[in-house]
Amino acid sequence: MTLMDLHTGQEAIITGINRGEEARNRLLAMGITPGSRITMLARHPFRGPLMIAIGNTHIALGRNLASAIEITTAKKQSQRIVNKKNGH
Amino acid sequence: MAIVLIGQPNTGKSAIFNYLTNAKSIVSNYAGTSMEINKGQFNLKGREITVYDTPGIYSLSSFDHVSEQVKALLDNGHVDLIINIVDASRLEQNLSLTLELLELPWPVVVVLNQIDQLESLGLEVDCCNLAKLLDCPVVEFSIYNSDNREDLERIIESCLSGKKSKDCFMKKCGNQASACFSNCSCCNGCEEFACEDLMIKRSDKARAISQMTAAVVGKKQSGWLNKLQTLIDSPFPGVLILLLLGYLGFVLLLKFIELAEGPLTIILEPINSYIEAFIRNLIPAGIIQNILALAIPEGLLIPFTIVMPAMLIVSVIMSFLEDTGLLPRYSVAFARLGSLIGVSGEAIIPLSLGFGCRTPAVVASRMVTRERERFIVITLLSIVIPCAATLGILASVISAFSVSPLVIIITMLVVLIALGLILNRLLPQDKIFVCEIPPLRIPQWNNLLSKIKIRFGGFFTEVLPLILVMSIAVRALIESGLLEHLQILEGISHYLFGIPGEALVAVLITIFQRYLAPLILLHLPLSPREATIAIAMISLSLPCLPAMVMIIREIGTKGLLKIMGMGLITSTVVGLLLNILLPV
Repeated sequence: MTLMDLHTGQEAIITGINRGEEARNRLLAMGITPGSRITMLARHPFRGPLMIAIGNTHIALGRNLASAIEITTAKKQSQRIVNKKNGH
Repeated sequence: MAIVLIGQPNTGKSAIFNYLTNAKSIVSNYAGTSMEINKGQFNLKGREITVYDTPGIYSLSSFDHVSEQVKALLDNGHVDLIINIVDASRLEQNLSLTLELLELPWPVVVVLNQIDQLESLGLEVDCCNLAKLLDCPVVEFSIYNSDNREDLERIIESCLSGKKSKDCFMKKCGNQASACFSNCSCCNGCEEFACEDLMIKRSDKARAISQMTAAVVGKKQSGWLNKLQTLIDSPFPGVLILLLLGYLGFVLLLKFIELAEGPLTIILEPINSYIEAFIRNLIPAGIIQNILALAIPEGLLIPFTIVMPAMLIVSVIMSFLEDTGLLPRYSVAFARLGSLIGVSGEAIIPLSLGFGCRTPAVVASRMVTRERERFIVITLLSIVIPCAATLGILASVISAFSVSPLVIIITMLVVLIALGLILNRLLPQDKIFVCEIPPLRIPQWNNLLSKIKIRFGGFFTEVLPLILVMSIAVRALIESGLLEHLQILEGISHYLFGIPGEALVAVLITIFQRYLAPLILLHLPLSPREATIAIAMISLSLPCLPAMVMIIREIGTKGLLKIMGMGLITSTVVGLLLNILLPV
């Protein structure tokens, strides 16, 4: 399963990147690494780019790159609010 | 003593650089604002410290132009301290670079920037724990809090007095591929896979540290700006909103020029008659008096009434798009259209900056990392995209000869697509589009104003003197009667392009100065058809001189010669085709 199969609003964990050295290098440097949790924010029509979120960072990527990013879907992570008094 | 600011794109390095040095670096809300290293000075308790502001990088191991620049600075710049600027709200992503920097021989101070944004995101970062886990000083920072400056200066001072030695790094390097970005004597650089492996390990560690130090302590505040961002980032109606804003910007440009022209002409006319009278009194009667008395007032009228308003409004629009974070959103919205002309979404930013001024846009093309694609972007910028000054002069010539602007716009669009497609065919490449999209922000007035000032300043230092000189040269050409000697061109010019020989001279002048060439047309009795062909040939030809110098710096003389060759061919083909297609 690749990033292309992820619907808007769904979350996933990256498992691998099957692409040439240059593209892999850029994705890894931007934090798109195996183990990262991503959320699909938007899919632009007419084979346009995809918008994903990793943490608070939003990234747009072309579909040919997205098809090289292998993922496994993950359940939506509910954000647990930490009580300030207890620290982190 | 020298310190260097290093961080990922859009973390606020230039803002901190300006804050420390009182410099005027351009600060924007998109990844890749700074594409060159800036140098400044600041005084730290009597000591002069040199500060380098570097372009944003994701990793030192990347082999792109920007990372190479930062590596070269570290290798040769006698750096004593690295200040790593980290966006506090994006720890997981930013810490990978921090971990990489910590492997280097220089002491590192981490500045947790934009700490004021955390509250609205419902986040909190445990700064002490972060410092402990990274084993380096961490300072919380917000340029809106003046106490932060003292904290930062105190830490810089203590780090500069107790810095690590470079020797211990060189010894360590033999066993650690991680530190091998430089061509140090003890190893031959790291293996590709070792690098990738390290990047993944750093990313895992960054994620773990982020989870241990950053916590959600409240709900993300969803103010109107967040709602607007969600709306603009959705394909529908986001793209429509962006198109509407683009259209409004265009209408604003035209309306502003139209409204400004009248009052400015009324103010300038008496001044110009005074200047003319003054020159006629000062210089004895003759050809020189005639040239100067006519050329100087002419050379002031066009730049002040048309070029100045155009440059001003384009500076305002571009600065607004940059500071709000809308500019990178255009690159997403138009990524598909860009691919039709052979460029990825990333290229949309330098191409749109070209509407302001082509020279910085050529530098900005560094954000397009693939060489072939970068060449296509620089070619399109040089030949097709009209800068604000060109737009102003074009507008004046278009209105002087009642040329249909639609014909010019359609011709330019057709050339843009055709040239893009041809180059794309000649230089096939793998398209990689990946771009960070910053959050939408309300522009800071002082930043917006200082940016407009920097951009618009070019009008007085570059455009106005050049137009004056050119205006004198054009007048001298007319008064000397040299134009009449160019009858030899008349036959060829009429047969091929349907324009008089003098108009072809204006086209040839583009070799020296493109946006000034249309000035010569204003002195010729042209029909709308002739003016349309001449303007189209001038608009689609060569880059101006400052842009040519920048192109040589960026891609070399060979690259420039190729672009000039293509420019001349484009101009000729456009002239030939319009002569065939336009009704007589």
